Amino acid sequence: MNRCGHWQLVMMLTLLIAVPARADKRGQEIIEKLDRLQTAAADQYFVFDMTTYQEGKSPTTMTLEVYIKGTRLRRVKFLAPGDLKGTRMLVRALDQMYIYLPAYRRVRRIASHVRDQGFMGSAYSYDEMAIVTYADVFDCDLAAESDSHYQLKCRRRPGQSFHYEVMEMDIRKDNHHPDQLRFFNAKGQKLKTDYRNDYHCRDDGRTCTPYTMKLVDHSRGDLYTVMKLKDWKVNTGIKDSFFTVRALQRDR
Amino acid sequence: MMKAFSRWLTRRHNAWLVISVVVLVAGWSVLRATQVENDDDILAFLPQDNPDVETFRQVNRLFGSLDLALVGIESDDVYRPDFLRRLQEATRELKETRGINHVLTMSNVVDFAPDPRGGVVTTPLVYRIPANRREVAELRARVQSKEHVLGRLVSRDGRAVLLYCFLAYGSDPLTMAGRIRKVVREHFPGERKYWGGGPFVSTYIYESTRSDIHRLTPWAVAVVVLILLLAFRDIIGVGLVLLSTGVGILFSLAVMSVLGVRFNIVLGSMPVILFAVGSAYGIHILARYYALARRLPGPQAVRRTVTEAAPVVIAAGLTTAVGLLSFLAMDIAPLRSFGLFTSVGILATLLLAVTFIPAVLYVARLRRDQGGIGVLRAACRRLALTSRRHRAAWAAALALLALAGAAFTGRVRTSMDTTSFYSAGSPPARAEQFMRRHFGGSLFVQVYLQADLGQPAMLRLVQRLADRVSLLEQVSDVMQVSEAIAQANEAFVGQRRIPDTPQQVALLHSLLASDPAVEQLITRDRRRALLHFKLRPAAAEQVEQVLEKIEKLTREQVPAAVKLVTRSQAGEAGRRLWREQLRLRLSALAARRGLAPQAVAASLPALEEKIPPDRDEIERRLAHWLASAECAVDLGSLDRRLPATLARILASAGPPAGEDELRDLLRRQLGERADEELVEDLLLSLQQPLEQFWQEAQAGARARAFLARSGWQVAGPARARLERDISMALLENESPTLALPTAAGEAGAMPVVARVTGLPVMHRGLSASATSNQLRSLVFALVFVLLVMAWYFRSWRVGLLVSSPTMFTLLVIYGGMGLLGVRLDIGTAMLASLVLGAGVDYAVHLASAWQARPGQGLDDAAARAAAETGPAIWINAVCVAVGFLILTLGESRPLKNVGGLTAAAMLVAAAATFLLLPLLARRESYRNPEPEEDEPLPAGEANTAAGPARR
Repeated sequence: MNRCGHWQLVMMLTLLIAVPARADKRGQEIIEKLDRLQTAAADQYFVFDMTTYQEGKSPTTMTLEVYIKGTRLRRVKFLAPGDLKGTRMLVRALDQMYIYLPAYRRVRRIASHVRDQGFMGSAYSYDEMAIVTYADVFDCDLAAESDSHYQLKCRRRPGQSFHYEVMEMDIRKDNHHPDQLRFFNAKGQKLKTDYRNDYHCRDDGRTCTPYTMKLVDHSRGDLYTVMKLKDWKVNTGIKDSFFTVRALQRDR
Repeated sequence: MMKAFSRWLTRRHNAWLVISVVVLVAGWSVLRATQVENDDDILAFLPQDNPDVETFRQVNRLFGSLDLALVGIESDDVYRPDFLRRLQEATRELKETRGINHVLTMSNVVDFAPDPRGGVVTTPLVYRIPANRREVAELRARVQSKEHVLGRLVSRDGRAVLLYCFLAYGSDPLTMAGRIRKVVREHFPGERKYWGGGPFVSTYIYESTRSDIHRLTPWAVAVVVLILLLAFRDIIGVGLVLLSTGVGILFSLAVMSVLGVRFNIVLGSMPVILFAVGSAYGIHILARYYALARRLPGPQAVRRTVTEAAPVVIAAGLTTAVGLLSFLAMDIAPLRSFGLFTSVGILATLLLAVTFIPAVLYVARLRRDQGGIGVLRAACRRLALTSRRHRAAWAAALALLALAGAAFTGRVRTSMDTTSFYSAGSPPARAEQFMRRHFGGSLFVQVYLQADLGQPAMLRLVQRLADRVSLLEQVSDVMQVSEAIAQANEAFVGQRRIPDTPQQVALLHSLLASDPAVEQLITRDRRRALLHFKLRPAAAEQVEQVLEKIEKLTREQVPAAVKLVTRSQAGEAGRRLWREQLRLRLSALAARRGLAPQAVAASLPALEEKIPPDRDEIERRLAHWLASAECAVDLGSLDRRLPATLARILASAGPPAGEDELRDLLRRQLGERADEELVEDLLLSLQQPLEQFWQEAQAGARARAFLARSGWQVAGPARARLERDISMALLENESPTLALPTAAGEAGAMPVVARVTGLPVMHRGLSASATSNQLRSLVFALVFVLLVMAWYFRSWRVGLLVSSPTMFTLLVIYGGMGLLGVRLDIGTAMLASLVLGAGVDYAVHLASAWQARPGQGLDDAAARAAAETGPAIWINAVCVAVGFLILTLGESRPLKNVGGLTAAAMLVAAAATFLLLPLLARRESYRNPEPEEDEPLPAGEANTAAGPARR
């Protein structure tokens, strides 16, 4: 068994013998702390490869460059594959997206209310791509606790349109970040599992991010997407004007 | 050899050895037989090496056409809020069902509309459930305006919806069909539901056949047993025969298990065939033994039984085995398995009949008083004598029947359609009717294309073919990649047309590529595409006619090679093609709306007129765009009136000239309010929309003129939509490149491959396969049956004589098929060899008993042979016929056809044996040389090997 295998075994055993905890405010405190940590940086820059694997088809890989500022503003640029290279997206709100199509040399504004479809055929839906903070979407209880992990069981808050009714999250105690999220529908059927591994931290450990993420869509024949981080920067001082249509069009 | 074997067998320890070996083999067979795995792959029944079928397989592999499950739901009004809510819930739940990759319904199909704030707003078509009548009416109007939704996801009359469930790769169709049914039934308990598409149809064929076999086989076996018991009134003897037959079946299954061969639905009928056909061998042995045991001591009776009866039984069994082995000549793997392993079962049963049964008889010393089957015996004798005594009349009657059979055989239809696989009233047939009623048809012909489909010119070639085929009256709908790309172009740019550059095609396709609905139209590498044409007719003959037309049009529209030319390079041929392309596009747009496409040709001159664009419209659109969020520069923040002012100036300035002129104009208009960077940003942002608005206004003006001249009576929003579509067609036709036919070897030539495929083509391949399989297996069986007969009777002529009743039977049965309109299909293609192998047994037994007493002539030979073998032959014929007839009580169409025809064939074969053999016989004896006897037998028993037990 390789090191990763050992680690997973230890993780599983730890979770199995975890002491069941009664639901209380602690769950909500834990998720709020996670939200604070995830939004601690003023801005972040990522470059990652996003590969989707589907049985019977060859894997497809996209390379994306992403800038995030605060909890709302995002700029995405496709670096690969060739057909999409140069395509840029600006997200200013959950349903406000601008896309620059290099082959047409123009920006199109798309106000989308289609949230549950896979982003570019990947396992990630627009909902999953967009969510930054969880406490405003879910009410969480601490379902179990071990020496290394909190296990939260979260229910979608009334009025929220996030696709999944229930979410379970295993949060590591060492960096207070999740290494597994499981999404369920109202009937308790597990729809997706999100694995987050290989955390790196910056800014004196205040901001951490997983270098490998894997999302498995169980309903679509276990189609899965792996996101491998290639570059990551924190607090680069990027301006708000970067997140405008003008900047998007000129790629500034 | 048989004598030596009979002596060996009638030693006590040898008999026990045989019994012990059989018990061990039976035990092993039971263990192994339970390990045989089921094979539910319906595609395995497609013939190999048939080009049509090979294309169908390839297309299915590439585009997953058979992985699409269709659910139809009928309701009084599908726009009712309650219905829509349930549809939304069912769609969501199906989407979350394991094994379903994607679900497309009226409720979740993505709709896009211009957003007042700029760009588009995309929502599921049913985004919010309408709360009142006005909202219901609005939704209805919106859906009615969506050509890609109407007639595909919702019926035009609003009384039916269709749910498309795309299965994930490798999902088991049987399991998925069950899961989809469960979800839909839960949400729509009161509505009529229809289950169509590959997973449901294959599940139905598989399940109905399996259920029929499971349900009917015990009854068929029970009836066979009952007939045998009634005929022989001997529980132990019949039990012994059935035991040996059962071991034969188990042995065959065990061999399959050892060889890793899976049990398919055709093999499911093997037990019935083996029980009906195979039990005859044991019965003949048993009957002969009982006859001999009345006068001889047990061991001697066993020896004589083995010596005299076994060779005839072996000869008869070998013909059946050969008939079944002829299936090896077929190109359908499961049928080859069926032939091989049923033949193994027959040979095992045969072996047990001549070894195990005599061994048990020797050890147990069974004895029975023979009863009488006097009436049957007398009837057989009379039948044979009638044929002898009225030879001319019978010869004429049989010749006439044979001639009529031959004549009607020519009318046997080989064209196959879905009715070859399921009956009217079955769930797939009801689903087809539903599709025809509400969605314009259920059957698709597809055109598979291999070409560089990343080129806009190639997409226009695809569009041209689609337009031409859509003009056929029998084609109700077309789905193809150009349409999907045009739709994406509309979403991202606002123009529903094929874009102008390969980069634009590549970008749009990349954004769409992962959509399962698009994956059914084009491969990710853009090298292969599939055009789907929905046909109105369903009957095989009409479908074949349309198919021929589509094939002809495909040959005409798709050359073997093309070269891409620009307008300046196109020449007269290119200009003609451009014009033809436009004519077809406009005709197709008209036909789709039920308008007369003939008006297009007469109205085309209107497009040549110079009509000025509507500048007010350009100004209005520009003003809206300049004030929208899509414009990179917030002009409103500089001056609230600036967007309107700038729009007026730009519209009045005429079509955009160069970049520099536009920059100067902007500088002048913005003046000091803007720095150079802002001007550049506005210029960059504005250029493309400005050009687009002018293009569209010019095309719109021409479209209006065309419409005015066409005389088409369209008004309101429908007219606006048609005008918009026509202007898009005009813009599309101004494309810079064209795919011009060229010689394959010419420089710059791009190869194009087009093949027509789909279920109707596969049915045609299956028909061809059924015919060739029939011929191949029949020739194989005929040659080998003749060889076996010639070897057994030591004469080719006698071999032919013995085979003649079966050949006559085949003529009658195929003539009957022609008369009754029963088609030749996979099932009925098995018939000839099966009948030939099993039916010739009767003549073998009759001929083997054929011997006149000295000086008594042929009548005496006929009467004696008929009396001695007749009852057994008829009992066997009735057993086989009843066994197979019971299969006709089921739902499975192939089983019904094979069951009914085999039953009829066995009865005809038995009758023909008693009529034809006495009619054609020229010798007083056809029996083999007399075996050396232990002691003389009573007169009348010496030469029969097949007579039933006399009680």
